[in-house]
Amino acid sequence: MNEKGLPWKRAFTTIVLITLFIIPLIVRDQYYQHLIILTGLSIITTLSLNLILTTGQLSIAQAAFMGIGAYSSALLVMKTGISFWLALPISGAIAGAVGVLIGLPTLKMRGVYFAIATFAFGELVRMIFTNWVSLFGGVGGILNIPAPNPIPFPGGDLHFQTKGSFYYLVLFVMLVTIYINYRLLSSRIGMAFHALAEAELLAEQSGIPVMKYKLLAFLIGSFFTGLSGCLYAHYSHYIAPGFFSFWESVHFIIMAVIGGVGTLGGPIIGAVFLTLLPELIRATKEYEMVIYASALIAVLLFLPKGLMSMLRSSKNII
Amino acid sequence: MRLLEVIEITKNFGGVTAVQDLSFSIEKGEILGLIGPNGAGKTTVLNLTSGVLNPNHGQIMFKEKDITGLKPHRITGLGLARTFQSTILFSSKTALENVILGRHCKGEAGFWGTILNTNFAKQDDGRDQQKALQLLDFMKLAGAKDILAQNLPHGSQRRLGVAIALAPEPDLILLDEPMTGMNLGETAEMMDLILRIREKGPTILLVEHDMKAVMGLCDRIVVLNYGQKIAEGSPVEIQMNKEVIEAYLGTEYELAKR
Repeated sequence: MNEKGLPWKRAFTTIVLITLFIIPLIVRDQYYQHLIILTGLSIITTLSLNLILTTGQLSIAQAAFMGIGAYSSALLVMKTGISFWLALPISGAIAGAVGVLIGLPTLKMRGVYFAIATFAFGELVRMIFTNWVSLFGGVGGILNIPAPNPIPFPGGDLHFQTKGSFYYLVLFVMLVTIYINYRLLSSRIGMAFHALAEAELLAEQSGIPVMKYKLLAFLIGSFFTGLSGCLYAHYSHYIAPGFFSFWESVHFIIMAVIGGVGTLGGPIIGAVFLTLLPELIRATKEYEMVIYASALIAVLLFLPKGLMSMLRSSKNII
Repeated sequence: MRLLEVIEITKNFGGVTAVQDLSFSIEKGEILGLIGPNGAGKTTVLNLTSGVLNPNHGQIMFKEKDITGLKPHRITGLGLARTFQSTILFSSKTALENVILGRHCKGEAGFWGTILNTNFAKQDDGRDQQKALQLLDFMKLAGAKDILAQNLPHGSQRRLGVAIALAPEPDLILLDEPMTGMNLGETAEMMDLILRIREKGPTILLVEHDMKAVMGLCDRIVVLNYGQKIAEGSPVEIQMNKEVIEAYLGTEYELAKR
């Protein structure tokens, strides 16, 4: 971050922010608004996963944490009748707490062992959603999840029933996620995340609390992933165990890897690129995985550090 | 004042006893050598002292505080740093970033201060940068500050390893074979640096196979064989010790000295 680049960077950030705020006014098409909301949710989840990946731990349970957030919030709102605005942070906290419970015993494992443990955890969560029918509704999931409660506002309440309005809620949570990730990754703690992934023994001996930081990344990652799950539930009004499967977790990993793990821009680019790409080339759902796989292979071959490295080498932003 | 006191530590790996009832201590300001044949347990002693391993029995006191069983990062935070026998660095980071990472435990802003980038955090970053540059200069790496650690020549990588350990401004530094793989010129340079490190403050525990360096640098030497202490004394006493000559130095060493 050199002094010269700062005003330029500020201008860029302002332009991006303004664009983000006026998107629903320009893009009127309901289907495209839907895609943009899904992109926003993908960005939240992929950034969360990125934080965990930065500490060198490959988690294949991101969709499960989304599911935990989604089911927690849906049940809280529908069974206990609390407001969505209370259920949102609580569902994130539940996902975060589960993250800590799972992280404590598993984060000591490295590489493929940790990946297998999180994979097993993800499947376990999906099985519980599927088989605990009385609470989670079984394969059919939960229907008719209400939209967020309107916020009283002078001159008319703020409703979140339309896609255009829900967009702003997603945008808000997304910007908070991006900000926290930016702060974390650019601080000495973020630098330590990279370091402990690279040489754990040296990091520990250099005074970096390795286990604590891995747990911290996992906690923050699970929390924001839970928020994105909660938003998804109240946006689509319907959740089922199949939405939070192993393959969904793999999607997020591919997004992070294609964009560039360990950077802030990478996961964002990856999430945007892979949510919009299948649409742009007008492919049907069945070809989606083919596109994902081809994109992944191409990136790994030609840009092993992700799309972000291309921007970096041209001395671009962040 | 006794800076480090190792009291009757024992470490078993399965049925193998790597270190047995070992006691020694380091006085503030001295350079203590730890020598012995390969497999004598020298690196195990360093791993036990720095918290990588926990002893089965015994106690380790540092600055009159019991540090037995503490995590390595806590021990480093208390002022006891170490280097590694093999060259381990944060390879994809620059030399400067490597040293800054070594200062991680010196941050005063705390977790929230760091996240919110308060003035405390900015002061931390500024101080880290300044101290790291001084250290690189001290370790004759000033020109390498922006070079990735993996691209440095071997001698510079070894010196960078020492710089990382010196970064948290430790009171005691454990050097695990710092001269490994170095040519004569590099060895002489490292010897000079070790003496200058001692002048700067930290007490040094040196594990090394280069006998010229050990005999030239150390005030006192502890000799290990099969996990047990077989001798302790000044370099001259150690060179005369029959048991040490037999176990480690060899009769050629004695002949060469004549």
